[in-house]
Amino acid sequence: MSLLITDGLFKRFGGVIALDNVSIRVEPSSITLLVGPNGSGKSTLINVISGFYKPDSGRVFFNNCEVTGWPPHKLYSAGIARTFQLPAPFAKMTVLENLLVAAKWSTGESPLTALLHRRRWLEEEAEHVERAFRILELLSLRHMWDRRASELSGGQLKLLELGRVLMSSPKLILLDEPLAGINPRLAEAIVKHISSLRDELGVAFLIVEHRLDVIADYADYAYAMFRGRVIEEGTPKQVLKSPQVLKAYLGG
Amino acid sequence: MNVVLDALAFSNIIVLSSIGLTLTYITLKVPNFAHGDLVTIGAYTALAAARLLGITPYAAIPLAFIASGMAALASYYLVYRPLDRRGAGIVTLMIASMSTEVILRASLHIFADVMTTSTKSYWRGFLFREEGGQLTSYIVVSTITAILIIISLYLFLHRTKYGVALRAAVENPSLASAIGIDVDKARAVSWLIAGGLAGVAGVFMPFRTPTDPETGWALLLRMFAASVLGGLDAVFGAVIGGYVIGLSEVLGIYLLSGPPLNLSTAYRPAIPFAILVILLLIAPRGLSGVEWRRLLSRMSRGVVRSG
Amino acid sequence: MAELFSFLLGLAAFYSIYQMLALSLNLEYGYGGLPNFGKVMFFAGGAFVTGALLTRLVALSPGAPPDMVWDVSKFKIYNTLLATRGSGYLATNPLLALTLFALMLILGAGVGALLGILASYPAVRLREDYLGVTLIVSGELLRIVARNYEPLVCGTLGVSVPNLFAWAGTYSELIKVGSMVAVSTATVLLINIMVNSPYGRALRAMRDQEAAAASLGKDVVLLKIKTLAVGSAIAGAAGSMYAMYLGAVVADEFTPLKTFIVWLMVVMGGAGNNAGACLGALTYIGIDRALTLFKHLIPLPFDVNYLYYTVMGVALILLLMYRPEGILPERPGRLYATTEISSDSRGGQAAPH
Repeated sequence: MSLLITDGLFKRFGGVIALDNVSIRVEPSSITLLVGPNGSGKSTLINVISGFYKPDSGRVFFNNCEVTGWPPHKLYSAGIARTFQLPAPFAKMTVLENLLVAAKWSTGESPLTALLHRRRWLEEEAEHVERAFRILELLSLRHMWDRRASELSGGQLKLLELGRVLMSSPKLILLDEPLAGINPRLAEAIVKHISSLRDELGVAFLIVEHRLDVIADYADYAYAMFRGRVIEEGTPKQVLKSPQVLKAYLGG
Repeated sequence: MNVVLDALAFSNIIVLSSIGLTLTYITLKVPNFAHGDLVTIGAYTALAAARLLGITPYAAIPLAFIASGMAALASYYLVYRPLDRRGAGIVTLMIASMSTEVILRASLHIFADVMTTSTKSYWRGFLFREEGGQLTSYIVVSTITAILIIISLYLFLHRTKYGVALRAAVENPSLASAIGIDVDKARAVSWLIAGGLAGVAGVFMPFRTPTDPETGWALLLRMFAASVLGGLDAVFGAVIGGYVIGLSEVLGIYLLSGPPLNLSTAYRPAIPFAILVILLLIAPRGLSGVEWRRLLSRMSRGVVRSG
Repeated sequence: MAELFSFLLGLAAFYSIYQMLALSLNLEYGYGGLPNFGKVMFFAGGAFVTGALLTRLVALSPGAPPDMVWDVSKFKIYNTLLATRGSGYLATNPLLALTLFALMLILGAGVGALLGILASYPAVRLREDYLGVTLIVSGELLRIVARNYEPLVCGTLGVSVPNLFAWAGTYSELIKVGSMVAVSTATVLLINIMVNSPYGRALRAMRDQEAAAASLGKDVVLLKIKTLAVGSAIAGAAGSMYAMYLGAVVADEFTPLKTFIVWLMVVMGGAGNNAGACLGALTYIGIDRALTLFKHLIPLPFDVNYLYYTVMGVALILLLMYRPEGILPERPGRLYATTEISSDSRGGQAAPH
């Protein structure tokens, strides 16, 4: 059973059709690539799946449950997390705080429970801090833990985005160009880390990425989009060799 | 009939001032809370000219234009431009705008108090009827002035080369600076015109109601109602918005204060305020921003579904 | 000496009230990024409900003629008399007086919270500038209704409120102000816990990057509603306290200038830092009280308060240009689990699980 299924998604903005009958599947514990030239609808698809846009028609299923039109925060608790193409850090908060925000709190996130259940969320906080430090270690950001996010470099911000979504043990992570602006060595490390998360924890990834040289070898499946439609699907090698996909990239 | 004429004159004041409010909103996307006080500055300039120079308030219209225009220009150069260059966000600009409002209003209070003591005459709650103006003449003059200003502003912004460039500069600054238009100067001119029009509106204010340093501030939220109704991004939308707001306030309270409701006339300002709140909640982009086609299709779909 | 003492008492009283207002705006704007330009509306809500109910409630207990209480045309004339008589009655019943003090605070907070929830409707839908205008206008609408609808607070004349601390005799003023300081201090402690909790962190995240906060599981709409409810409840309680301190409620006092003053305190002191908001309130109120005290000694041909507003306006604009973060800038959130950080040995290749 697929973890994520989109069924005939349509989305238009004014006169422009951004998604045209898009049906894809993401299997559990897999890495699925989404490729295509700029403006082909990849980011729109991510935004629909993560609840930022409502589709005009079509449905989204996650974990055997219809989630079409759910708001982002509800999808996050269901197990879908995402990153943004342009890093979206909480600039005035420290790196550690950025991660703590993303943790799944059972209490203390409303004014009343913050006052009344103080002991309980303090205990929880200790666990979340410990987990956050392990993630920071993994992403080589540990030494930056008490810096404000606004002091981080572009590459470090990308890592911070990734670190945040790892805080909640999601089942599916949507990554919108995670490697853009990251040096090749770090990019390689991130991809390796993504694949180990898939293998060891069974996390599924849906990744929009242009740097296919780095990531294609690790991916299990790929979809190619062009002008809002899925024009090809299959293993990454098949998709990348498809004449249609080449034509799309070359401005056909 | 008197009510209709009074409503017309009141609307002229609102129209003249809200055109400027919209114009400044377009330049920096900040609601200028001090715009009402620019109206008061116009009124006090006319009063000072009438008392100190002995001319009729009408002859002081150019002076009022200059005084309020200069105040607006100063607030642009001293407050908004420096903040804008430092990359201030909208909330910061709004706080600065409120500060400017408080500074201008408090200064007007000081001015009124100082003039009252030094000239031994009242500079608060003054009317122009005894300064040589007449009720009927002011209705005619304010209407003619409003019409002339609206036409000439339209011709300036749409038919002259400089006006078209000015519009381009304030509406689309990045494009305008790319084709070599001096955006900063265009903005400054916009603020000057906006302030000047508020000053002209201010000259007519004391013909109608006793004027003091709070008068313009009390008028401000009505101007907002007019500007929002006409669409905050459409200069001439404020003309329609101004007449609708002005007429509905004066005629509305005339109807509501009669039988069967017999509402106190002190509720008067509640009419434009209520219109504004309702407008902001259902159609914040004003009449020009309503997506009529979508609304109609939604309504017709609703009819089909229910039928 | 006595003059100095009463000056300090007045300072403490006004500071207690404005500290609550500044902290509530800091919670909404400094931490949550919600620009509440209608602060005076929630403050007025608490004051109006106290003005409308307290005198009537107290008058009924010792048996004032009911028509004097319920007939508006009579209540308008006799409310000061009723309030004075009520103070006399409460002087013999301190327990009832203190209960009423608490009840009015709770009512004020309740009305404030209700108005706050109403205000969250535009707050989640409109851009900052439109929201600002909406809230300013709503506050003015409330004031216009209050000054014309006489059953509420007797219109333009205003209504008198009985002294709930008359039982303390010569110490009445001292104990009254002491209670206000206690309420205000309790607010500081509660807000400090709130902003240093997961809730406070979620608020700051929403302020910094609303979309990212939503994608990380924060229900931003609910967060805004709750925050405006809490902030407005505090402002409402402050309004109630203000009414009980002054012993009168006059509708026309609640103009947008009050909102501006609270913004001045928060931005000047440092948005996103509670100590900053308190410092801002203390600075403003301190100068304001001193000016009131020495007003008659300053030979000016105009009211010195206008000069004060002008100077404060200029100071605020300069601050926005040269030190936009305020006197005391925001600091990172408090961290409780410090032991985990100091033990540097953990980590390594462990997977996050």
